[in-house]
Amino acid sequence: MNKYLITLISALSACANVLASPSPQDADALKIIQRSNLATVYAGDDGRAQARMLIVDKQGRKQIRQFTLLRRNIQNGGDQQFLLIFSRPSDVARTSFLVDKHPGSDDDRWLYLPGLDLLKRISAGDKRTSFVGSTFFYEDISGRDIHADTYEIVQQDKRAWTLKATPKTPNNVEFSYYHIRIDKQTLLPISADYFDSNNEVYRRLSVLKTAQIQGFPTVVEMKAENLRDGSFSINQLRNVEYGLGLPDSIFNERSLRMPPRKWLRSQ
Amino acid sequence: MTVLRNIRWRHVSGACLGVSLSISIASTHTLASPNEGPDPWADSWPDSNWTDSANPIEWGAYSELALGVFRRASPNPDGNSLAEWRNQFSASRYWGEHYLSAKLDILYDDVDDHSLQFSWRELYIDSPLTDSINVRFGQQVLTWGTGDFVFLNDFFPKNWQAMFSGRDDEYLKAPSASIKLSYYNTAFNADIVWTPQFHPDIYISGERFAYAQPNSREPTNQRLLADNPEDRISNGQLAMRLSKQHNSVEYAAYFYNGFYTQPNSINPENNRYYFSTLNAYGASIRLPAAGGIANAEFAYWQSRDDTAGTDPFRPNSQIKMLLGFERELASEFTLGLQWLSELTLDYTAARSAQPENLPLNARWHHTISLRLNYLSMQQKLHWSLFTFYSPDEGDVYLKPKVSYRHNDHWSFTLGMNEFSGRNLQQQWGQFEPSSNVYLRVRFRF
Repeated sequence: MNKYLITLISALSACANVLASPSPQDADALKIIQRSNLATVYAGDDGRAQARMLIVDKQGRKQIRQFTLLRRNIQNGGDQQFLLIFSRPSDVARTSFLVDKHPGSDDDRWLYLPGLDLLKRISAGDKRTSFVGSTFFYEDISGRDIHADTYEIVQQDKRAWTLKATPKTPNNVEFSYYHIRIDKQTLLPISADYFDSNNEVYRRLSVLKTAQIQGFPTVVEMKAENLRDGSFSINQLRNVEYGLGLPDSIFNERSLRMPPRKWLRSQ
Repeated sequence: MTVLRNIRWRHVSGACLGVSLSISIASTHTLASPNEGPDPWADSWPDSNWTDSANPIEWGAYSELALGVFRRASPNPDGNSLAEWRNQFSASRYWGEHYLSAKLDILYDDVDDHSLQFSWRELYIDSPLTDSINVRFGQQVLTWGTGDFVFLNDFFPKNWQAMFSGRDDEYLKAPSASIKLSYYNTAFNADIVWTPQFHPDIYISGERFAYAQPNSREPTNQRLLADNPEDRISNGQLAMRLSKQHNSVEYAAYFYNGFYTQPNSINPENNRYYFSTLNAYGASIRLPAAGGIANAEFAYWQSRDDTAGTDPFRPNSQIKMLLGFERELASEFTLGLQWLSELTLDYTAARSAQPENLPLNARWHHTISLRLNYLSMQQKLHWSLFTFYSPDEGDVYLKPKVSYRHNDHWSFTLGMNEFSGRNLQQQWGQFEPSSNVYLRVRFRF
């Protein structure tokens, strides 16, 4: 019920957004973002990837995290479920993380700590805080709610559109606006530059590598840079597979306590 | 009504270890030119893709030195609250869907009466019996309920000495040899845990921390010896939970049949402490609210050895209620608040039966807790403060801590356990002489 309501609200706000934007170009901008969002975060009905993240601080010290990621779409462009099972380093092995993503509203998040057998619910909090200590934010991984910003096309060439995104609620985010470059052919983002109130770029996301997997253009390597202090993180995906037929029933407490091995293994 | 104020702190059992998502692990390598080189992953781990590779066993180990000192003159003669060297070795592997986990702790403990200790932190097999039923068999750590350092419906063993001395939060939960059956269904989940041999808490018993006798003005180091229930199959502990999640709201119902997990009764025949029988019935709810997570939990503890409440040597039945709220106030800064109320039942009967020279708990006892967590330096530096305060008793337990994760190998933790109150008959006040400061250094292999 709730999720339909959210979908409805999202749909209505999308309409409102379109209605509020008299210029056809802005309506085009929203369409581009919508299509890009579907291509980037919703490919296939579900998916699995092995991920590893290289985290480099401003002193150049490296950290590495490795995890398996399962995703299932409940509604294309709408609610999604994510399950992350950490495998490295060894002291966080089998730590797991479950997210019920509700675009336009607070996500539900749980963290399971195997050493304590503790299933902790995490407050929805700020989606723009560091993901496991990296320069990526939670919403860089799960996708930012496309209705949180308004968009305009500021530039385009043969290869890409560049859109300016301005937050509807500026107090909720650390940026004033960002420029996102979207590949016209794949609809995947190429880069996003985040500007502060002095119009200076201080943060950059860049796609380093993409691949065509089962017909879906897929980002397989992405970098998040803090341009102020030079720290950065690289997220790399391997063994990406789509359309696995992941059941709803694995996105639950059981899988947090005992990872669903059958679905985590590459076939 | 129990007269044993000295171990009354058992009622605020608690725990849930305000864990933020601080899976903040650094590795050791220094990157000379981070953006260059053929493959930045070249020196990283081999892939682990959950398949039976040539070496299917996952190994792990760490070594930790911990030192803690009392801040005040303590009845403990050597002045240390913690002086130990812990080594943990772990191995796990799959056979098909079956999973084995083994973690062995080898501890040299200079404070405990037994200085060399070998113990299995984990030694269990986890198997799916059917698509919807799972069994975990063996030595395991178990936790449920919604409280943070407060347990109303979780009677799995806790190690209070570990909590008071500043060992890793993980060690507040002690393992037990149990069988856990879990049933998962779209309608509800059910868990049944049977611990065939009674497993008490590791309670405050005198060798590490002094405690107060009910009628004494001085804390004592006298070892608190208690008679365990006889080893009989009927003397096991049975714990059950039904749980359900619907529209972001989690509901659970709990049942426990066994014993109090601390020796809070006295056998008048031999004047020895023992564990009296207990049934508990409870329920909890946890849901998102006001930008955070709210929880409420209820429990009815039925003291089966004193159902009328007239026996001064056994605890009365109680009702316990917990309200909690946690919210991120700012980026990486989290606040948690809890209110626990405990109502002693059959209070009039208890009061009339209570010998005059012995103190009596208040009918209502309240405890407030506050947790502040802050993560800084890319989540490598973790600040935390946990506080218990009782508005009716006016006693306090402060637990500040700062942990630094230098890299994948080294981590450092500095913390305090500070107790204060008006007298030795209070839950936290009795431990005032045990206030301590500790430092732990861990090396992970």
